[in-house]
Amino acid sequence: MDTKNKEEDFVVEAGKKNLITINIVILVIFLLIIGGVYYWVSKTSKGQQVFPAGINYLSPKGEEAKKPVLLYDFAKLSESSDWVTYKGKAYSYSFQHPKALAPLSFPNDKSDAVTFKVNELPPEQSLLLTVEIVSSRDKNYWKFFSGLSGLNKIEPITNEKGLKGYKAAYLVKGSKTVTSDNYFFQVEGNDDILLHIGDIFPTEGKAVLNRLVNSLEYLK
Amino acid sequence: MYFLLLFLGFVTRLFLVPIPGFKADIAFWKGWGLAVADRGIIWLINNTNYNYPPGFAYILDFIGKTYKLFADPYNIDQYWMDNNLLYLFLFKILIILSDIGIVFLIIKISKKLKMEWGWLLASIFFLNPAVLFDGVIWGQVDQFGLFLFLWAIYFFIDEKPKLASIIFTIAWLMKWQNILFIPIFYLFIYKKYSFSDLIKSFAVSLGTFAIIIFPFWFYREMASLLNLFTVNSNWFPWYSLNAFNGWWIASGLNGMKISDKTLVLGIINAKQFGLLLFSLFYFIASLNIFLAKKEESLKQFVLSSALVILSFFHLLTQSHERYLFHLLGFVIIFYFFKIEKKLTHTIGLLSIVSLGIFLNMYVSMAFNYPDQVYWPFSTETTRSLTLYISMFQIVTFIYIFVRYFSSFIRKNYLWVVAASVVFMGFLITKNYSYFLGKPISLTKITPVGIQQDYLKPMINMTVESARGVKYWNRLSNNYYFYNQGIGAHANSEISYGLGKRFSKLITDFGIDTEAGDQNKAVFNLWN
Repeated sequence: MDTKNKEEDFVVEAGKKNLITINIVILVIFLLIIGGVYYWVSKTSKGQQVFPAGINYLSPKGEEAKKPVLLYDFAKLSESSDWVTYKGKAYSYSFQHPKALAPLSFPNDKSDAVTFKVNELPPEQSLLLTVEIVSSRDKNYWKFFSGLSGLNKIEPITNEKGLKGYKAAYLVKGSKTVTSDNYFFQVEGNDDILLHIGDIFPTEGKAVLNRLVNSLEYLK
Repeated sequence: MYFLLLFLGFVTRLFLVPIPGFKADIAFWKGWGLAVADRGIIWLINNTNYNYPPGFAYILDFIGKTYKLFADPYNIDQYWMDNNLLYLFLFKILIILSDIGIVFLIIKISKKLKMEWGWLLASIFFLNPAVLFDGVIWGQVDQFGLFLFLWAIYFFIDEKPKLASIIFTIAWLMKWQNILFIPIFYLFIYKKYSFSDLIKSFAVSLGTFAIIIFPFWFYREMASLLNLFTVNSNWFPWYSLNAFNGWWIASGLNGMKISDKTLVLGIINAKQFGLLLFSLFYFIASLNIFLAKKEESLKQFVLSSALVILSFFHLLTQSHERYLFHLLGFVIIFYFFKIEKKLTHTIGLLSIVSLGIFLNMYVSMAFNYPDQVYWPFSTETTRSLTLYISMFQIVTFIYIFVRYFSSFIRKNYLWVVAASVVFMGFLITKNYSYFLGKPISLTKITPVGIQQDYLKPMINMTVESARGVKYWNRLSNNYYFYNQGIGAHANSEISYGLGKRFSKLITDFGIDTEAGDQNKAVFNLWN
């Protein structure tokens, strides 16, 4: 009787051990899968820096981290009804922008560029809109610029005024970062020019840029 | 079966962790978390724009310190990246734990009340897209608040009001929305138990409060705490902060464009009108508990809590898109408390509520971070769609109110009529002079906008009075004293949204006596 009970106990013990082993194996596989996914995400995703708005904290000394200063309340600008129209000087493009942002253009500029002072860069290094002459660029746009190493993603878009084109982002040479979005719009009846809009706005200004891009028109 | 569903919900959450979500919110958690980990809670509150309750700062502190164990938060190219996986994991794992805690409480509450389908409803909650979107995708912490509130309810079922009071105090010191329930919470304790239990509950609440806010009273910084409690009242002074409700429709589907200081009824502005309406509904919610039978009072407390959260979202201005989140838990426990007797009705109502909350949050995300969601519509089309989402949510509110409160109102109509008379009386009293065509002092109207280089405009006092009680002084010009007026300092721009209600402005202006007679200022009026 005792021997039989001992045998049963042994079988139950062995069963428990097997169950524990199976559970541990399943857990390890599960953790490996999740860990693998996270590893893959961390290696492949290309993010952007996002700083908290307003008065916040970046580091104990305030020196290691330099936070870009927001020059405007972009949330308010994007929702504002006070938007006005800017018209190109050499080309007949036009778009809407907040009245509070003063358009900056350049004398005798063949690319008819315009920009706003919305970041810390000098305006000439941070152009919002340029008219690109297709024949003067490489077929692969990024190859024309030494700081870029490739195309990250591209997708076709149509803005609210019916202009068709592409939204593209490029890989920055020597780092894991990606450029901000670039919009290229085709002009009907003139295959040699593209309206190029670069995202010069800080993250908080994304909604302003979206509204501006959607208002872009080209008059024949 | 249910274990499998819950496991599926858990795995789904883990896979969603790397989504950057609402980037601005996550950036705030990072900044505040780093500040409190480095400098402590008082420094955080006095030196940053922290506007969450003090309890939440401890959570951020814990995350900030844990992050430091594994990575360098001062590496600007890593810490502030929106795809900082370590930070997203550390933060969102707490949200996931809160979700699991809610699931656990739903099951426990169902068992305690001897009701079936606890596992089913808990699984539905765990796999609810609105819950997933608010927490592990967006990166918000509404689940903290709901988890603690449900825990307090569980203690009430267990007849432990003092433990419930401790948890509830932690709840509102963790998530502001729970402050809303304070009056009905203690009213319920009084109704269900006794005055003595009410006092004891107050005492343990006060003790809990004192422990959580220990650094403030220990370092004599209670003024900072007081400021933290009041700072949110006009943080975003707009009709609606992407909450698709009546105010969103009234704003012309652009709630963050119209100031809630705009006059809507006589000289009552939108914020005041919303507060009055909310007070009326809060009174009905309180009455529902006060007049309930003792044995029914917990059930009515749950129902009243749902009405409070619905009224908060729909009637007040400055409401956020996420403020209905508590309802996702309340509707589920409606079934266990037999507020809703049929399981199919409960699931149906939960689906309707979830759909509204999910669409509201999803569209709000599309407005702010279009790269975080797939949304095939343009901004203008989306804005039109928000009209239908708003109407859907308003109809849901009316449906819930009529379905669960109509019989109560019929039985106690005299109370409700009396409250409505007080409500109307307040509207009329406030507008009495306006309705009679008498002059209205601008001091009685809140400006929609103020910009001033020094201090802030003061009503019926000199501008220096803004420095504190010992600087209080009456308005005067060369010792001619004014009973009413606005004390301002150049440069100052004060705007009013009068809505073309007035045709004439009469004013007097000058340099205040306390500024001396050598000063000059230019006074301009624009229409």
